[in-house]
Amino acid sequence: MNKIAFRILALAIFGIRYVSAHALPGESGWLHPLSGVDHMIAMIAVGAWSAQLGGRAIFSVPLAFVVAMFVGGVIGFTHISLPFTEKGIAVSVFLLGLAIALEHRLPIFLAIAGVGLFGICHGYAHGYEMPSMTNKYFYITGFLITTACLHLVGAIGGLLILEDKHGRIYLRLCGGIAIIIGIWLIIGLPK
Amino acid sequence: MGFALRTNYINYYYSGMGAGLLLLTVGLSGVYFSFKRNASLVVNMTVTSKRLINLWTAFSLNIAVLYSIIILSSQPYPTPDLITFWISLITGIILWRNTIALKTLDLHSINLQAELDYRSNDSKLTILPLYLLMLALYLLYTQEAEIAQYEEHVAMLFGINLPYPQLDFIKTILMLFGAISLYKQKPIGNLIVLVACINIVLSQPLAFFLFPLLEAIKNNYPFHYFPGMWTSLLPMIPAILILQKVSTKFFISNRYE
Repeated sequence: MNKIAFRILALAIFGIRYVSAHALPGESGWLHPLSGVDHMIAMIAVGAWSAQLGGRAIFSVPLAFVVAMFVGGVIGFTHISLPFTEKGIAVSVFLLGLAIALEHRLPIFLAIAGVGLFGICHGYAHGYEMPSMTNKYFYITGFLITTACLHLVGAIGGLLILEDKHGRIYLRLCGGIAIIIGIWLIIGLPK
Repeated sequence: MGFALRTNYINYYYSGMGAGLLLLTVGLSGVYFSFKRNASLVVNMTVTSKRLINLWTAFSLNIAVLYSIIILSSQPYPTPDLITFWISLITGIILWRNTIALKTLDLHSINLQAELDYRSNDSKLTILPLYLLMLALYLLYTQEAEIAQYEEHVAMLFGINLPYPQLDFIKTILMLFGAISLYKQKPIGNLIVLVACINIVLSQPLAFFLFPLLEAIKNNYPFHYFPGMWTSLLPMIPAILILQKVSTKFFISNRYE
């Protein structure tokens, strides 16, 4: 078990080094999801919500977001105009926070559809903001892996919180914090 | 707090002041309890479940991967203090997972029977005062470093653009979280203790020796003062003591198992 864990870790670290070496210099996709509080909170919230939903949702909901990010990223590269993406990103933080705070258990296909819609907005923003000199494939690989890592942080963090005696309340409080950040982002949107 | 005093941003100011004052209180209480042993700080730890340990391992590895992304994307190259934090994070996780993850820390037990009771639920945890002392001394170091403009010096030395990542600020928050986790008997507390101690042992000599030396070579100066130099080695004393106690405890307990 320890050997497998060590190999996975080594692969992750050296894999990043390999791809980053090509993505750098310049803006690399790896860092993009970490560079804005809107992306970061939304991605962690997707993971936390999937942990709250439990069962198959813990894999399928984040996966739907990552796939939708890929689609959104490709649309963004081509610079096809997609309206309301910035609003969609800000609203996604608010709605994901609301879903966690209310602890409302949606049917899994609805959760996947909703998260997919948000994923397209986030992916579009990533693809649209890609510097022209950067390799598209390395850029997209970068932001998808970082997104998956953030989902894992949210999902595992959610499971850890739920292990506690009052975990359900704590997780709902975290949803409340996401709501506040979402409102702050919506208010801050350019008119 | 030093960071808060030099910033123009009001949110940073309040968060910095709040975190600084909290750390100062916690650190001073550590100094007090280090001299006056108090039964209330002897905490009973329960052996945690394998599932919880696996979850914490996965969580911390994930954080390590995210931190690796930040390090590898830093321009033009990562500075030594960022690298030492990464090394201590990875080393800490591996050591924690393979040694004390499923066990308790009983650092002040002196008799053999207590050593044999290592896995029992009655094991006592008395690492906290030493850890709090380390926090207080680290806070002292960050004060000196911030007031003497550590970030600006490192940014100039390595030719990187400001704002230089506020690693000391993040580290102090993490250490505070570690102290609370340790007190609340959470397994993550043990992990943070290991990571923090390894990091302090690795990174504090940078400000004391490596950075002044590099600056002296770069600018053709004699060896001179670098921000944080006077107090940088102080937190190393409790950090080394904690690591020594943990390793002694681990090897002794393994011998009798």
